[in-house]
Amino acid sequence: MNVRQEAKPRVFVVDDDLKILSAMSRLLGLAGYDVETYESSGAFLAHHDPQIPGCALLDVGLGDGDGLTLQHALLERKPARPIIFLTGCDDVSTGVRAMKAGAVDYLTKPVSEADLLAAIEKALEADRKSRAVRDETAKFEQRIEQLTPREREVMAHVVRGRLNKQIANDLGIVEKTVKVHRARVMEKLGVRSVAALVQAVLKAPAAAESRP
Amino acid sequence: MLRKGQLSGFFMLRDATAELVSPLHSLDEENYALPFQPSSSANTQTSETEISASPSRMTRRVTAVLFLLVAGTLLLSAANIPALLRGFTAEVLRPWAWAPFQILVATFALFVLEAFLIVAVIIQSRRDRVLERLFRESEERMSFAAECANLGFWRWEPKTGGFWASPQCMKMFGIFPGETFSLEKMSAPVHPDDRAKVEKAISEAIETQSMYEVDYRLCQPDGSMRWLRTRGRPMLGLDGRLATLSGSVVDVTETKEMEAVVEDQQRSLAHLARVGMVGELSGALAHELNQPLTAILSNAQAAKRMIEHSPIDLSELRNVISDIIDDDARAGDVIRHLRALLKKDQARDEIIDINAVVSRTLELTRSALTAQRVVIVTRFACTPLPVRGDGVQLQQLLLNLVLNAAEAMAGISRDSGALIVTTNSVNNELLQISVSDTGPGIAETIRNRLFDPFFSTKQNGLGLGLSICRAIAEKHGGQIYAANNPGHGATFHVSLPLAKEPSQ
Repeated sequence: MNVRQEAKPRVFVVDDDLKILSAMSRLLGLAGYDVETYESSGAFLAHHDPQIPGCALLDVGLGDGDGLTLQHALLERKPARPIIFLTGCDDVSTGVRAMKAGAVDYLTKPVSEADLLAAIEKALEADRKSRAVRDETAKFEQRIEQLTPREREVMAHVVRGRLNKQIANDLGIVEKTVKVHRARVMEKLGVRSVAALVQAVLKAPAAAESRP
Repeated sequence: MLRKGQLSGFFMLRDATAELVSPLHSLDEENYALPFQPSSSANTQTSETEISASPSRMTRRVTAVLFLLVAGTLLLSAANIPALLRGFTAEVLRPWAWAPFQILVATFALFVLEAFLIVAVIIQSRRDRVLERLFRESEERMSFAAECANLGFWRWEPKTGGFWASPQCMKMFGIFPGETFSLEKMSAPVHPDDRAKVEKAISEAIETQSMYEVDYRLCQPDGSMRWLRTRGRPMLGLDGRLATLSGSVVDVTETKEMEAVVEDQQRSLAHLARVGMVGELSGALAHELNQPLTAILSNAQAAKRMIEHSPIDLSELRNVISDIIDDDARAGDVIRHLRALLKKDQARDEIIDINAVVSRTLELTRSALTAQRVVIVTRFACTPLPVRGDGVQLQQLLLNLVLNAAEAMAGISRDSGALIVTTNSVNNELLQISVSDTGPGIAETIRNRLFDPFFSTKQNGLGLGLSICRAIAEKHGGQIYAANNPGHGATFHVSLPLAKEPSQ
């Protein structure tokens, strides 16, 4: 996870048609992506590492179960991978289900290069963004880990917008101590203002709320 | 003797009517033409068959004896008149002379005998007349029946080269009465395409010493065609060689035309059903076409990118282009298949491998079945199974069975559908295709009506699918039947005769 970004973005292609697989692999390779191909959803899931950045290009009609089932299997593995669907028959209901489950795009075969690459770019961008957010959240979560229980209590009150005096009253401590805790929280979390603190906590609510 | 020759030509009724025919010899035979009497010019052989002890000969002998007796009696009477006169006057008591009494007795006895014979001859001639009438009536009936049934007879004796045919038969072959007719003339107008078939049927019949039946076309002088059906029987002589080949011939043109109309309607119906099936399969077919098109497009775009890069990787470019060519052929195959199914064609007669038909059918239905999550299991016979017939129709039969199986499994829970297609040869002459599903099976109440036309359990089904399947199976000399599996689901079995000739 720390070995960062320099590698080419990776596209995972899953299609039971070997000819399509090799053609896609060629095209995407020439378009500057790192391509991994799989013939079946089983093989893909067996080798899949969600930590590798990139997106998946899935055929809807796969030999061992359809693409939507694979989509759900991928959604369960965090971090979720952005998915683009390719379909041989333009079936609206399948398309709707796929998009509702969070697919980036639903393309009909035969797909033009421009549409395909645009969708892939969109998916990779989504992947990059979500990974950046995830990284930031993870960083923040690590910092929250360093807070003492009392500091965390104080932080929770601050985020809720209460004044130092009210916090001191609630926790049964003097206002000065509250101020010290508050300064520590700001320092440990690397934020300068209450607004920044609120924003950071909103990004990682689970970590902030847990362990009262 | 000419008469006997004529009788031998009259082969069908010879045994039964020989005795009836013989008395007619005294009649003028040229005055009435018997339907089965051969034309005199065609009659080239005589038979050795002796009709011994025939009543006619008896009558003639009796008549001859009668004449002698009458002559003798008259002579005796004339010679003895003086003696009698004398005897009664002077020498009446001389013992050594002819006794007038004895003469009287002898003459009287002769008269009695003559009277008896005359009565016998009269009775016989009357009986002959009755027999002659009966025979003529029988002949007329026979001729009438043959005429009504448009039935002709012929007979050929290879040893003597003799050939005889009934007038109907000659008419069918365009021979006028009085013209000579021969085996060559009989076989000359047979349609060239059917000649081998006829010869094969005859030689097989001679080999197995059995009846044969063969339908063939006859070219008419005006260029039209008539269909004839010949049923024949070879008879071997004591030496084991063919003695006679005889048979009947009937014009079946109307029947054949009717059959052609029915067949044409059946073909139209089958075609309609096929078009409907293609409609059902349209999604799957679009997928089948899209796959190669997708690969072609992506490969072409990749090639374009490769050309823009330098240096150009020529060997990879070559791979790309050959992939494009392969996929194009793949798309072409799908379209060819589709066209074959959609086209309303004359039924073809070719030798096809059933295994190939089955795999082609499964290729067409694969994506439809996979979408339904049905697992396809195939168990092919390891040797090719050649069948003579129409590949498109056989594929239609299989498509129908496979789609029915898929439909039967549509309602059941996911992941438990399996389609098992098996082909195997039952023996040297028969092959069997089985299409088995894991659906709910066939209800006992509808099993008997399964193959009936217009019987359907589907809400908007026409009920023609399986009846067309049966028509196709039967047209190929086969059978189709259905049975429930021991576990669940049903199996449809199709048995077809294996083609004997090696595949073309």
